[in-house]
Amino acid sequence: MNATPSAAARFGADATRRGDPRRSGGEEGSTLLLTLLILSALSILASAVIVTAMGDRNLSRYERHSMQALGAAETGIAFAKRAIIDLEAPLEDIDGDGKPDFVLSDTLDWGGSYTVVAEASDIKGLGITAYQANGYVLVAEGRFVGATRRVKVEIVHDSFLKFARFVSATSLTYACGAALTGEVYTGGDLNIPCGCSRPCEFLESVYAVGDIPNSNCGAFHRGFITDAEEIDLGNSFSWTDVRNKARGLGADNSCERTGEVGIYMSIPGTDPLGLDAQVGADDRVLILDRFNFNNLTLAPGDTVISYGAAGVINTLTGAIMRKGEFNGIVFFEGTGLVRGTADGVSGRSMTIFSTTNATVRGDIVTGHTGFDAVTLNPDGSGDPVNLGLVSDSYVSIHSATKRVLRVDAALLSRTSNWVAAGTTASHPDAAPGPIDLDLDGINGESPFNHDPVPGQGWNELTITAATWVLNINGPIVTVTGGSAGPWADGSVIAAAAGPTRRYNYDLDMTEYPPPCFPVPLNLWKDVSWTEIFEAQSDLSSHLPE
Amino acid sequence: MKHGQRSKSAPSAEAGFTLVELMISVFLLTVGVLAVSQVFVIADRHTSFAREETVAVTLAREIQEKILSETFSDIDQIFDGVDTNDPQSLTEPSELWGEHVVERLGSTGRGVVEVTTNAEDPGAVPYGMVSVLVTMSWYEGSSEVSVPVRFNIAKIGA
Repeated sequence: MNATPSAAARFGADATRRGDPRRSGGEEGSTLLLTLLILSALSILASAVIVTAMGDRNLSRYERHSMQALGAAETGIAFAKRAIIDLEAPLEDIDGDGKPDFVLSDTLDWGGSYTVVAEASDIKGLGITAYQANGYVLVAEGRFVGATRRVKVEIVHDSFLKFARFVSATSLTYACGAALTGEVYTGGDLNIPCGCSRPCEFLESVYAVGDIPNSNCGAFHRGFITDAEEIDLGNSFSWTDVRNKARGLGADNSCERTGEVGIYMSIPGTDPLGLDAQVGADDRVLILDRFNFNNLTLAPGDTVISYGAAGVINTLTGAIMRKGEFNGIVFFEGTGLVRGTADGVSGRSMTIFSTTNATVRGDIVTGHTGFDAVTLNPDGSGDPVNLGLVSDSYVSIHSATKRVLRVDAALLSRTSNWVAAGTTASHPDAAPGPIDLDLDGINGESPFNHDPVPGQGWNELTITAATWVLNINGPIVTVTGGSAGPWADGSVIAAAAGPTRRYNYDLDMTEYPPPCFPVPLNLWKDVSWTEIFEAQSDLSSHLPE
Repeated sequence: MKHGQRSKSAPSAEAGFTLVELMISVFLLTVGVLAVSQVFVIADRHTSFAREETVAVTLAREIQEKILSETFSDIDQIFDGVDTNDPQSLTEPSELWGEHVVERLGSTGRGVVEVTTNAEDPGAVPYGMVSVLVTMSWYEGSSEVSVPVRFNIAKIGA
């Protein structure tokens, strides 16, 4: 039986032939071939699409893992910061460069892990014995699954000098109209009155370890924080460290990389400035005017330091101390008495440490300009001159200072407070005037100096026995609240025409801090955050040299 | 003569093969197109997931930046319990983030922030730190997908 094509097949064949009359025997199977080609093309397209899709998926998964890795790195930084603050950092010197460093590493319960390397970034200063550094650079690597992220953070000690008023242990109370231009910290509550015609104003941040009961009655321009962390004032510096720096006996005796020795006083006995030879009211008083830190005549060819007519001896060299050799510390064993002017002509910034009391014996006025080296006239250039007064016990105002008193200094009492000694009778009046009582640069405003408001205030032209004005210009850092003594006496206030106490924060102090001024032991701040996009090199290679 | 014989028998053989060829082609094309279309569906699902995941990570980063820029003592109060599904929980710093979550992750998108303090869980969170968990979630079809991001913050200021 011959094979006979079906009608359909014949029709198909015929149709094909009709559709493509040129088709020859060589084109047989071309439809299948074309189909396979189309399928191949579709397969390639599908493969490309799926590869792209999977690529997107892998990329997004990696982004998620990368985000988790960044979280792990941030967590590592957080642990390193706390280790430093809580004095639990395992300080070593792994790289042998003389700077303390440490490494932390851990696996987190959610699967991430971190490694942090840290190294001191700054010189050793005061108040930082526990850390051996002013700042740290932290480099953290966070890992999650296959992702790695690195961040670099620098932290430094924050400063006491930013506080207009710092009281570590007790509450602070302000009266109506108080205006604080620096930050305020209290270890207790901050009490402010309600119902004032001029409410208390706080221009910078306020921290209270306790509460601020009437917070709605004050104006907090930068906000406030209650339940703040306690800041350790008592351990903020070591007297041994300071003494060694003053005598040039420490491993590093510089302050902010300047100088190699200070001026050490232990009267009687060690008195390189001859203070014990000063007579009358000036007996044992450090008189700032007598310093010349730019003496060009005593040792020709050198700029040396003199006090009165004599050169100040460098106890390390036995020669007159050169300007650059002084680290800025004047150290008193016992009580140090201070008065005078460091006007920016012959003065320089100093911190005066007293192991018992630091006593203000008269006006302390610091300059805020540089000077012309030839004419010695202030010329507005150079760094301002700022003074620190640091005591272990009281920062006191002597009982015989005048009733108009100006103290340009950052005051710090490590264990106590500041106090104005004496009675209303013991302080001589400041007559006759004129005196610029409100320090607005206008000397002798009359009949009012418009302090605190226009049309009110003291008569600066005629100073009388009733004129009591205490101006403290600088941060006041103490353990407990201070006392203005007679300046806060009821009879004095009743007879006053204007404010008897003016506490003026000086922002200059943070810009040009007194040398080796103590820093808070456990108060740090972030100064930089950088992501490192290179993940292959050794982690410690990103630390400072 | 041979040529004549071949040309005589060839037409019928060619005719039958062409029809089968066509049928196979149609079958293969149908199967192929169906398979490829499935691939496209799967690829689209992956691409869509990847896009949502990337958006979720970006949104998590957005709220992380806000949390890191906040004062330490306020972090717990401001961010703990923030849930974009609960407008009442959105405080001022997280309101805009809540809008972004809805805009970019769609109506099923959700962001939740949990802040754990040392007081709440001293065993898990060391003193002076908070632990933050940001969970971004959305629906892919009927299944919920979530992306958790965790990190700790240390208190170093007053």
